[in-house]
Amino acid sequence: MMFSLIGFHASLGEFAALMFFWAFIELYSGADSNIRRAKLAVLLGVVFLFAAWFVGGFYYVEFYGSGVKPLIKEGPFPWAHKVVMETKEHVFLFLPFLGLLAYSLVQRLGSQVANDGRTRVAAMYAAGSVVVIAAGMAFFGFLVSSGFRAALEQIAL
Amino acid sequence: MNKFSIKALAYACHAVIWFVALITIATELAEPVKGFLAGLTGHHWTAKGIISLVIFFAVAFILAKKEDPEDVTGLVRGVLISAVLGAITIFVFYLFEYS
Repeated sequence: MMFSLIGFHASLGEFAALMFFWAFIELYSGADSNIRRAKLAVLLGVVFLFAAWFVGGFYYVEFYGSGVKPLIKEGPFPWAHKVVMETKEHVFLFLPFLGLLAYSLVQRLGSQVANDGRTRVAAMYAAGSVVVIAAGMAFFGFLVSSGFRAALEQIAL
Repeated sequence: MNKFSIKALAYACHAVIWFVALITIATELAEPVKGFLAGLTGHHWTAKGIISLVIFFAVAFILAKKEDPEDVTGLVRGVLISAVLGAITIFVFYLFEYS
């Protein structure tokens, strides 16, 4: 249960990053058909972000605090929790809101501000920031998992 | 989401980012703050998330009718700077706590 949840959380987060990256590319191209696809991509991206938040939060509250955190803190890489996980769990909270900002910017394209190049650039900034921060979250997740694995190895070997 | 101006959403993002950064530091430095948040929802992190949602939509509703400038890139760039500084603030705080 615990490992499926973390895999599910990571997959949802990666799909979210992929959707925002897709939106970024479509926005860069900028034709009407690209904008239509960008609208779909950011919508899916926001849904994946909120789903990743919910699943990751459930895992964090129900399993991580009682089963994983104490082992990491006693293991060879305690910083994996004390610095990396603590930062990850809080910076993650920025993402759904940056996603909503990107969604709102993209929805305005082609209707309220037809051919507004500056709004398109702003939407690219917002979508790109979600991609970069989500990639950072994935890397931090890898570090936390490494801290847990190192702690288990210390016990087993 | 179209009922909110971009300016309203940008300010809402600023509010959430700095709320998260400051409440994160506050909960680590003052145990009663963490206890209070945990008392609200059962876990301090869950409370931070729910309060962030409330702050985001409250600020967005209050500022919903604020008129957007013709060029909104400055607003979005400001949010990105806030996000980077907020993330660095949290990371450096925990780094100092650890060392």
